[in-house]
Amino acid sequence: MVANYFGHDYALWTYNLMNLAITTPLVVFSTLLMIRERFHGAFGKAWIFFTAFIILWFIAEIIWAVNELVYKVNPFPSEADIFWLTAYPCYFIFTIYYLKPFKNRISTKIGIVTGGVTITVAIFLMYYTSMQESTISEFETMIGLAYPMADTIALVPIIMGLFLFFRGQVNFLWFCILIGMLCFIVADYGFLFFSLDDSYYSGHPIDIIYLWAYLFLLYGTYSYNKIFMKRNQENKFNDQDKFR
Amino acid sequence: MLTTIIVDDKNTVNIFSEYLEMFGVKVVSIDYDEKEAIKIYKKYRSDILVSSLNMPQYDCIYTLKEIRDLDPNVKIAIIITDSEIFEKLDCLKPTEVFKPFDMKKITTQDKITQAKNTGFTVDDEKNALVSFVITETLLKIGTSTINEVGDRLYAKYHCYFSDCLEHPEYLKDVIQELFGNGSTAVIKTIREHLAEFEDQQDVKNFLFVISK
Repeated sequence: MVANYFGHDYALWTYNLMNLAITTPLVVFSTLLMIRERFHGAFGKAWIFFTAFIILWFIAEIIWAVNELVYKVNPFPSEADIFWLTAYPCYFIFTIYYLKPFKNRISTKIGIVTGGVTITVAIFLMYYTSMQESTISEFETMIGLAYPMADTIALVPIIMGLFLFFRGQVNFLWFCILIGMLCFIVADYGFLFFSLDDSYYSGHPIDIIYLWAYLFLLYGTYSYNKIFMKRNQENKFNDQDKFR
Repeated sequence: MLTTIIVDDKNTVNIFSEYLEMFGVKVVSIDYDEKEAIKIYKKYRSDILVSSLNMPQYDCIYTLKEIRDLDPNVKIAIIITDSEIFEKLDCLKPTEVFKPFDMKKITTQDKITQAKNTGFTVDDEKNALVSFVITETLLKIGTSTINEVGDRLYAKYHCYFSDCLEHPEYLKDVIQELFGNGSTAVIKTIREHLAEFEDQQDVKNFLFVISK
């Protein structure tokens, strides 16, 4: 916000640098979680896909920053969108693997509630978008709409996770992912809204919400790392490594 | 005290180590790769060698033959998954051949029951069974899960998985702490695995308390 007072260029640089400053540790923490699981079990597979999801978005952010700061071209749409959109299937596979060991606890009621919320939000988004006058092409509008729609559908497994892990320590990760995804919905829709009348620019105040979204994901993965980090050296169960 | 070396993938090694130690067999070394097994055996000269035949990168038959040649009296217990391998085993003169996790068969071997001697009871076998089921269930979730649950059990209650038969409330508390409402799914899986032993009072009590 402050950078905007100094001009669009300052806002541009500030936003992109802050973005990379937040997404870089997010990649690190995700990778640590993946390595810690040693690729074994449902969680092992889940964290592989979560890391892939984060890395793809990280690459997309870099492409966006390079297009804007180095090549000085409009980064939307660009190759970055390929990475952003490709990451969503990885995210969904993460949620499937993570929730799989607990699937016998997911009831029809939860499915109906989450489905209902998602469909309502999705319909609202599509309707409101169709009512807007647009200065961008239909293709760009569709790409722009794909993000808040995908973010909305992404809420389904998150809400299931919150129900499932209520009162558990791992619930905090899902809470952070929920807030993060809600921020992405607002930010992505804001991006589309401002793009429709060509008033969006990098460093726009709406970008603050993107930063908050990544911050929530970062804090969620950091906290999850802390939960599974404690090692009790007196525990005979873990002594067997010393035999090697 | 009887000594053993275990050579298999990490998860199987962890399970067998805990299980055999409960029966008073000291695990002097472990290895996840047959390549070093001969060197390790020469160093420790254990009474028993527990090994898999299905290691991905090395010829296990050659390794086990070499160890047999070093010491004709060593007890070799081989874990296999492929029934066609049975005929290849004659050259190793195995003491016994187990399908994976035939835990009852492993512990009724003469040497091992002698090791436990008067200390060995039927309760120990049930402890081991429950411990094994818990370990397998948590391993399917993830490596960090089994480590974290094991650590918390020890940190809070100074107990191990093998103590959970006697204190199921400890296990339930730790799993609930981690997974909240999701703990019922984990407990349901444990219950399904122990269903055929529910007629035994200890196991029945364990399932009752853990499911409350």
